[in-house]
Amino acid sequence: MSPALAIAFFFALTVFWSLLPFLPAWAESRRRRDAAPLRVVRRAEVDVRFFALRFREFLDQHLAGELAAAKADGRSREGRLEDGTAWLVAAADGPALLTAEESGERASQRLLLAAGDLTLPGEHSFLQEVHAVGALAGGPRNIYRAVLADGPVALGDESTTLRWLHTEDALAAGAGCALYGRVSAAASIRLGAGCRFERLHAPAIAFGEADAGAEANGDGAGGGRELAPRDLPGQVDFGAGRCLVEGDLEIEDEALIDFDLVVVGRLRLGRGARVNGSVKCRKDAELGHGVVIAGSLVGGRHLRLGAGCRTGGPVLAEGDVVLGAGCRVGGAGRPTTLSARRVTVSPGCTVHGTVWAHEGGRLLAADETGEEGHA
Amino acid sequence: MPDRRDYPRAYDRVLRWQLEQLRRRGWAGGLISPHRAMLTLRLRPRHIVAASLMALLLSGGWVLIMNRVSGLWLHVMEFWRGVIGLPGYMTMVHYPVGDYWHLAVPRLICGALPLTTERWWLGVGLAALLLVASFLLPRRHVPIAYMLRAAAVLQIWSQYFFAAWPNAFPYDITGYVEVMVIAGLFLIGLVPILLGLTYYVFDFSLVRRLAVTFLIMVHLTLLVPMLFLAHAWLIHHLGLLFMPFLFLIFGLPLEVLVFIAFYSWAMSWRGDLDRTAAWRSGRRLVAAAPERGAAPTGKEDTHG
Repeated sequence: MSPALAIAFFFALTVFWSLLPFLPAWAESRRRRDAAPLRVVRRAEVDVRFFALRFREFLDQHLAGELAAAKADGRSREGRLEDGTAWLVAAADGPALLTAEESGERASQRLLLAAGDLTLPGEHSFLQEVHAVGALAGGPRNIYRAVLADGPVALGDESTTLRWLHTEDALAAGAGCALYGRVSAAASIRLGAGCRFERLHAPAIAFGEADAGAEANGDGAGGGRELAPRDLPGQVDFGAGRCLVEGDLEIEDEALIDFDLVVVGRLRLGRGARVNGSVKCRKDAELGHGVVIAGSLVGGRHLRLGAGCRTGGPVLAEGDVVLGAGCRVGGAGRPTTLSARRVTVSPGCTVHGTVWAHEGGRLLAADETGEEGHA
Repeated sequence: MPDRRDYPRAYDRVLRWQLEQLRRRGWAGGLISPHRAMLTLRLRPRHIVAASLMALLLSGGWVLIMNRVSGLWLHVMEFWRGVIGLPGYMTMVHYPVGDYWHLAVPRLICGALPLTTERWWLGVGLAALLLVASFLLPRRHVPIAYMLRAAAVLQIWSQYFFAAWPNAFPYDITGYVEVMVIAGLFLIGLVPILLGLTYYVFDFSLVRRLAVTFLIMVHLTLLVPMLFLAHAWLIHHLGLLFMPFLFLIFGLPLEVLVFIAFYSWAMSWRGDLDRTAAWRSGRRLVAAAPERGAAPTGKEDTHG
């Protein structure tokens, strides 16, 4: 091998070896196999009723005729779908809905559809979808895969929904229910004590009895001293109606703040304080009794709202949210969102719009509210 | 299944497990995977302990074989030095570290040819070439254009320095190659530590963690002697004028880029996040269950 060739070979080998690790990146830049955004079915993400609407479309395509016929002639019908799933269209409500085998096993693998109202016995599992054209009432300790009803729905105590539930009317869940997946109602949702939930949506979601937190309703909030930006310790910037505060901040009781507040550290709003704007806090935030925030409340970590607090806008937290008794989020005709990793709610709270507890939420029983109810 | 009235706790435990299974079942019995955008990874103390142990063990292992690698590099560099006709010779130097250990480093004894007017103008030509090329690149390659301009500015400063103080440059080929070889040895030893902080903490399997670690370490082990012997050849023939350029553009930064390139590739490998125990058990159930045998009828979407 000539010296020039040897040198060329050596340098070619070195360059090749140096560039070899960049081959996957170069290939990806050419092929762009992972460059597309993640596929998101927009309706699925935006509309909490997505699964219910899809199921209704399915019914319209496959079983609408059977439902109409059952309603017209008053006779129940049975059959199987293309995939072999058994279905029952019940013309009239009654105990004969389930077969002897289903009653014995306390489980039904059939798609249950009712042309009118539907009453289901307790301690049964309904492992296919349940649909009622009228009202639906379930006994205690039932397990539902999914429920769609045009009338009001009443779930017995300690019932469980596995995937979704939607009603075009109101939903009342008994004590100790576990509502997994999406639960939505066109009118309202009321949860009994000790209920667990993940994603709720209704114009009004009532947690427990409405009068549980009636003693503190935030009506007199902000009746004390009005605070200007210069009154806030650690204030570093004020502009466009927003005040940025470096470090922790504690606001005195009944103070009135007439601007948006951004706090880099922890925040504590004293009893009866009022903020006529939005509040954002990068660390934990704690609101005393009867605090009113006209706009949104956003927390980088945990948010703890005392009894009777109100927010006009969304409540969003990267960590957990604890609502004391009688809190209200949003308002009638002004739906909003409460979203957090975990949500713990005391009885008497109302949220207008959506509640999304990413890792689960819980409505405390009356005997558990000692701390949260009076935070 | 136990009866609730007789065994309430056992009943609840079994029921909870069964409900967890059912919650993730589609209407046709298939598994409903959560959307990729919704998956989150929680760093637990055992992950940190495992990542730390693995990083320390692998880095410790490298320290144990470092002198053997130096011996290998000595032979590799000596072989290629002969092939490319670089004058000089290779030797091994030992630096004591404490009382019981020493660091062996291959040393290349070699000088650079003196700076001449032709070589100086060659440097000017290189800088001009880089500058012109940076302006000819299409707009989508702006990052590369800026890199070329930075390299050109570096070479222009080098030209100025050697024009103003031609004999003041304090470095030589022998010292340069030796320092770069030592840096290479330590960089390779740091690879498991860096991966421990940035890769082992993620949800990749043990095999993948080991694979990316050995890929980077083996690649750099083979690259370092060849790369700096190539530098030595270029500096010997073109002069010390080009040493800053090679050091700052094709020296340690290139080795770091090699690490980043492998790292980004390894990060694109599929992790275990969507294969937690619950999902795995679900898949086994699906595999065991008989198929219903019909096409989906579209009752429900595949993610919730």
